[in-house]
Amino acid sequence: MPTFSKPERLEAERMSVATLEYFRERLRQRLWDLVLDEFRRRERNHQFTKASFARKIRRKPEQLTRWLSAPGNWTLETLSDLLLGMGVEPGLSVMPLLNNQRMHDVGEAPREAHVTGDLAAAMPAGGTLTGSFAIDSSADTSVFRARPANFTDDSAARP
Amino acid sequence: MSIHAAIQACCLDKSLFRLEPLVMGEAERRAIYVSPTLYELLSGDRIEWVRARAFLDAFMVARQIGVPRYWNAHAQIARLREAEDEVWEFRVRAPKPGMRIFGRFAARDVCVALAWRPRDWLLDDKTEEGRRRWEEAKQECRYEWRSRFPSYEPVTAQNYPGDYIRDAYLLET
Repeated sequence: MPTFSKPERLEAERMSVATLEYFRERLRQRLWDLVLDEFRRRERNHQFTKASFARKIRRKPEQLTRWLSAPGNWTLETLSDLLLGMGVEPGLSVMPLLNNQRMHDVGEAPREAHVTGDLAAAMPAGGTLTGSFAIDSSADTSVFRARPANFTDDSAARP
Repeated sequence: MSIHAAIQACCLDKSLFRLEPLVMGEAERRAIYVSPTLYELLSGDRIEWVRARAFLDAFMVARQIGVPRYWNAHAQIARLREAEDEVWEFRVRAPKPGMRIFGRFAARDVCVALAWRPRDWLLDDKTEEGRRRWEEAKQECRYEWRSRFPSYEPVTAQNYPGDYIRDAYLLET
């Protein structure tokens, strides 16, 4: 069951713009993944080639490549065409998006680092690192990390 | 010490943070570790960073990742030229002007993102100034890598893109 951040985020009278933006992009990416996964499966099964698929939905192959590369310019029409071209349509249903406390949330400064998976297995006490992380409130996103002027990366010299 | 142990050490001293998808409950197929600066920005509420966070969260859970075989301006992630630098970019295009987040693969499905630039700052890499700026961004990424992992090289592909990403879908130009 999908679970998202803090209760007040989804139950707020007015959701933050950050939350709205996050879920817009999330939906775009999920739909893209859905289509790409289905497309790849059918292509592997030799049900079509990119060229024949593009012809089928009355598009140029390069347009199809753009659509499969990223969902940035997708519209509902794009989604419909791509799914229909594969002879499918989405099985639509909704599920509740649960609220749950998380240590970091959209719009909230990080406080803890969590380590999971392979790294967690190597760590004591369930793999959660506790402690404070100092936030530099003066951080300016236009200022990049400094590096030594004489830095040379020996990996660049690899054959 | 393995690269995984080195990453763990970086997490302990907070020179790296592991991103976790803000929406829980989906299988994480890939891991992304980021520098403290990126972690702070990705946890903020500036719209461009919220979009970037959603994109990176999606990268962690997506069943397929589209990776260009050759240069593809539309792909969401790509390995930068020169390939032997092993620097990848995550392309966050909206809102304009967008941004690029640079990282390297520590292992298959484990990416370490260490630098970023606004897209409009990078300019066109066909110009001399553009090439210089792209190179600077890549160099920062390499430097940040070397400062954390002096004994480890990033993934170098024998099998592209499968050595980097298990479920990669090769995008043709």
